[in-house]
Amino acid sequence: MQKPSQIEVDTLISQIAQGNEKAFEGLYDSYSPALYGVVLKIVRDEAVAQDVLQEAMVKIWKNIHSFDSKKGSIFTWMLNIARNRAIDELRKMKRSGGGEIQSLSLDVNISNGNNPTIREQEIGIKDLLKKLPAEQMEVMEYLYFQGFTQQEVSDELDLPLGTVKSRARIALRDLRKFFTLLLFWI
Amino acid sequence: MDIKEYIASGILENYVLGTVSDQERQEVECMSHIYPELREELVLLQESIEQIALSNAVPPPAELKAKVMAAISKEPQVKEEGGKVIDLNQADNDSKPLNTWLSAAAVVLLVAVCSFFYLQNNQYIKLEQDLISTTNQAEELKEESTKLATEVEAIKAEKEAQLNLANILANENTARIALNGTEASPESRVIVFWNKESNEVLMQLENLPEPTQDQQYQLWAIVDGTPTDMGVFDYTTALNKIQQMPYKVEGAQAFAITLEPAGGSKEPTLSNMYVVGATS
Repeated sequence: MQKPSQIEVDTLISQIAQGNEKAFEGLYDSYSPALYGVVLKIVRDEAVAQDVLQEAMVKIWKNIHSFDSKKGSIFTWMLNIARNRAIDELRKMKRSGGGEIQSLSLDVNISNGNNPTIREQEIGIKDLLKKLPAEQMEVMEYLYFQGFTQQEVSDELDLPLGTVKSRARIALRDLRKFFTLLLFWI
Repeated sequence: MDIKEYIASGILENYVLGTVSDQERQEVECMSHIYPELREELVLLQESIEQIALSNAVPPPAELKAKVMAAISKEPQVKEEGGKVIDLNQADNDSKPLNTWLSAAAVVLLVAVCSFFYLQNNQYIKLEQDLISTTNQAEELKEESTKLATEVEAIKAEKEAQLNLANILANENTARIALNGTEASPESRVIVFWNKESNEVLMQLENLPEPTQDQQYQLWAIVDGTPTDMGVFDYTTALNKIQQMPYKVEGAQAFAITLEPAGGSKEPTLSNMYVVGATS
């Protein structure tokens, strides 16, 4: 997926802040696959994921004025909204006992790749992700995609809390290194 | 505060993963206002998360877009509260010195608030460390007590063995046989206690030369003129206490000790006999 340039994003945001629905459509087009991918991975149900994404998008539209570019990018802000909404939903599902807790897939990339251009650009990232040790990825899966706290991951995987903390740290650091390399390759 | 150390603590990673406490979240947001390098670090980490999301991208069904667009057109945006909008004309009327003074005060306040968060969190970390060290101490105490329990067991077993020895020694059927030094070693002397009912054999070293590393003393009983193995023994252990031999013997006429290669021999090496004594 092609991220829009910073200038394009800034323009979109100020237009959306003025109530421009067409501009919001642009934001949707740019980011909905990434948001949907994360939400789907968390709730593991397409119908639920679509509801969650819709609610998240409405929240983004409603609260665009509270977005503060000093705190981070629009993408991070949108991701946080979508992820939090999805994790709330996941907890609700677990509480009601409806969705059995499925075993985690360590395969980070679950894109069905029906868009050939997305597919090609992803190959590099996918290969890089594979270089992360499975144990680090597992901790990241629980923290990011399951919304576990570090203590919960520690209990779940029977690992000392310090190990969970350091694996999460190392995973993020390594990912960052890989992506920096990737920028040079493209 | 050492900002490099703060970055290395891993709190930023937790912040971007959303696994920090409210206290820590406020602290990170506060600190990143003061330290630009913290903000840069945060941006880089957030990009990692963005990349994870991008690599996971799945296009949602096309019809969802229409639903979302319909939903937002019904939803009014939340504007920022009116109080926050500054009346520019009025702002112009404010005197410059007051403005400068106010922003200076704001910075001081910001630093104060951040320090508060930081100190409070540090205190929490310290408490956590105290807890860990207390837990470690408890672990050590537990190990220590397990060790002591093992020692108590060993002492009990030892006492049991001593009691058993004392019973054998006090028994009326136990004969005390002095084994005296042979020509090769006239100074040597060993006492054997032999119970003719239970056939148990005990031994006390009084004087025997220390063997070399690759040699061991071996006790023999002579039964009908034939030497019978009564077992080898450790010299140092035997020096300090009366010890019970592993084998029993019936109808022994004599006992003798020879020096053999470590582990003992099947037949005694008679040229290495140190002590010998008849039972009657």
